Amino acid sequence: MKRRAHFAIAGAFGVLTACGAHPYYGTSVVSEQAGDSTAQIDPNVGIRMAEGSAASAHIEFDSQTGGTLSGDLQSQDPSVLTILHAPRDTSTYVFLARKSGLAEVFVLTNGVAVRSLNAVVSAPESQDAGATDAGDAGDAGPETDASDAGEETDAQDAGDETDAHDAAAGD
Amino acid sequence: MRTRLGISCFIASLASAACSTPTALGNGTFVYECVPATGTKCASGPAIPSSIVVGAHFKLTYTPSDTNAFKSAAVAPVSSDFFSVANGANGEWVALRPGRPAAFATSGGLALDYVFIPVVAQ
Repeated sequence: MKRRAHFAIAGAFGVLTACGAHPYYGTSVVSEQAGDSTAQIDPNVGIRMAEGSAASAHIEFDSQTGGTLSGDLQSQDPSVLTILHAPRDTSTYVFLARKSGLAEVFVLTNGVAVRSLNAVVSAPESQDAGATDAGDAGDAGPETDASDAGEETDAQDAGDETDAHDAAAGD
Repeated sequence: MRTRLGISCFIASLASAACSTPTALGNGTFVYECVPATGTKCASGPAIPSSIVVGAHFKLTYTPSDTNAFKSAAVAPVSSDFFSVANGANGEWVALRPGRPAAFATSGGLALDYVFIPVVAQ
């Protein structure tokens, strides 16, 4: 199953690489962010969170002509950053910073990867509760076109949003 | 035990909102149950305490508001660096290090909710 996902994502990048950037995707609009107030969630720029924290946001993907595209966010490494949907609203995403490290996040519209961005999960520095400042995390860096990231992408775990579910299983 | 907690929470909720733990998505309720352990202070529940100490033992469960759509939910720490969970998701949790970590509830691959459980050094 994972191998199939791998090929699907790789195929999407192949299309993107061959045809250039997605002709319709414009920008992502983030609203109603909740949870960790220090989390930086911007699918146009990058994602930065502190390990162990959680955040949620309503995100819509706009076309260049102003319409809304059917979109999704997928973490290339859910063991670092897990992205899940909230119930009843597929535009609300929950971000779970599982462990410190870097992960690529893919913006997909209409099933095609149109952007790749960096997600940084920083190691917790504070020894006190309530001070989980992620400000000293490494640079999330600017977004990159998915076409630039395609070759180096191990999409084996892309789209595997069940890791968190697996971790939570057992009852 | 869980039923007793629920009843006491309901009775208390008639007088105040002390038992309800605000959650991020509002799709249900987390219930915290203290498990006394030697050498650690044990904050009382069922609402999640404002903070717990490193080494505290507790149980954490989640009841979805819409039990027709979600029969049950699994609860897990966002990071295993902050909490260890013995014997599955409904087992005993131990706070491992200070910080402001979160726990989350899932059902059917969806994130029902999450909540923060601040941990302080002893």
